[in-house]
Amino acid sequence: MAAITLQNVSVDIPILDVSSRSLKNNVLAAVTGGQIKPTAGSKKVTIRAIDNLSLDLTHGMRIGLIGHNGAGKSTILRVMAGIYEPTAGSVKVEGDVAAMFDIGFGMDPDASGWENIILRGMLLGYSRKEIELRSEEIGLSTGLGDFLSMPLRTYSAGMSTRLAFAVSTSITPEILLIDEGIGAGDAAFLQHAKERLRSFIGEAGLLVVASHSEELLRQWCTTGLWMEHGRQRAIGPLDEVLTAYNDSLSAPAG
Amino acid sequence: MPASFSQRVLTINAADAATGRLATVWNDLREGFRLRELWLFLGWRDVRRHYQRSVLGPLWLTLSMGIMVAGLGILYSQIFKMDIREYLPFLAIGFIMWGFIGGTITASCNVFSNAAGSIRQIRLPLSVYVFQFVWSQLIAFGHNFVIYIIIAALFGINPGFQVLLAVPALILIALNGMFCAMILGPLCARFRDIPMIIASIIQVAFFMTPILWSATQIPERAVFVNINPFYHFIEIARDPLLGQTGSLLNWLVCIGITIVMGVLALAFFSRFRARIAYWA
Repeated sequence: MAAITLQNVSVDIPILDVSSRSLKNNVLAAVTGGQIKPTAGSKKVTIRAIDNLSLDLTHGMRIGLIGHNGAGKSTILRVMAGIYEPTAGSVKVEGDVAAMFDIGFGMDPDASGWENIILRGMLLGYSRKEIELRSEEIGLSTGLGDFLSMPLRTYSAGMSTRLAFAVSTSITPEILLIDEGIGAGDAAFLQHAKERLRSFIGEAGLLVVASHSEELLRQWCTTGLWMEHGRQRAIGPLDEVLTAYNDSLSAPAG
Repeated sequence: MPASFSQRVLTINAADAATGRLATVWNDLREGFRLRELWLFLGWRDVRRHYQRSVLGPLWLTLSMGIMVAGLGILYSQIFKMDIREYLPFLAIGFIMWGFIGGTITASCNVFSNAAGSIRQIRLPLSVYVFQFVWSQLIAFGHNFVIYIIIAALFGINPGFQVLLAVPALILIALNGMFCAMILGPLCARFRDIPMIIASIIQVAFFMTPILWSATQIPERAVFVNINPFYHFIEIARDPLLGQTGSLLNWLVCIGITIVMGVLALAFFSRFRARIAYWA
């Protein structure tokens, strides 16, 4: 059974600018007691992206993450995916995880469509044999035809998204994490691929989606999780949470 | 269902003590090794991709190294007034080994910053990137090694059974390359000016190491050569390929350095592994 448990999780993300990325500047600042600071504001800044968050997500849940930009939606997805290890607290994830954050990742522009299916498939966890067996079927489902033997750089943006998407949705993960915010295709694309997504999402035991598209969330999710400044503002049935969120948006600031 | 590398149950506890972190690193390395099909594949691609659109492909590596060795060999054998039949093989092997050692150290700086894209997109044991890196360096070395075979054939070098000693030598060097990536990788992801510092150190080290010149040319300054770790690593590989064994001192120093580097790398990697995703 798929499950995700977060216990008092906090995540601090270091903000590294050009100057704090320089060893020379750091050494110089240290040995001179901070007297020499080549540029102002070179001290290390961290942003608390997730603040003491506890969550208990169980099998069958369809969670929609709601919140402003910078509310911690993407960060929490990365924590669930095991990419960001939290600064405090503990995370327990049971089940195979598939993360769809940036749909274009792991593609080689100079390789052909077929080669990219193999490459991406292996990055997603297929063995060489498995992906070679399935590449035919995946290739067909892209509907790209002869283009598959051409290098990826000759593709239009839409075509390469279709290819990436076909490979990504060929797996059947127990836990599916989707971030619409960082280019997992804009809402329009996701609408376009609706059919494919419906069955893909339907098979997942646990779904977490971050999106600004209300329509999309209503279609896929049943539970809403409203994030604000890295904290959980509200969790409950999607409709209620969305209404509360919209009310707060229309309410005058202050 | 593909054999996914996202483990069935993933538990991350930020409060883990140092021993817990060490266990995590061990896990990471084991998991990474289990995914060898992936990094063997990716490592090959790294080398191929560099030269994808050229006719010769990775043989460019061989060719450019070959031209360099031939040119420098002829020039310096004149300068040093040495027999070219003796000097050129010596120089060639030294150069090839240096290409491997120096190249690996310089490139190890970027092992994580270059992979930033996939580090933030999917969960892979971070050791996968380290293994992939060492493997691609070994492939590049393999291409350069062709030059040694050509030269050995041309000059009739028959190293005999001693040549087998080159295998443990290469293993030691590759291991150190891996440790380097585990230390310099996270460090350079955090501090972006370290790669430049490393590159200049490596450049100086090249001239300080007996590659163009031989250690026997300055017998009265043996200490100067002996304190240079690169000398010992070059020697344990070069000597067997020329039909000798390398001195016991060479081997002991290399084994000692490998152990120290290994301990350092484990300590460093276990301390900073979790931060790499934030830095890269």
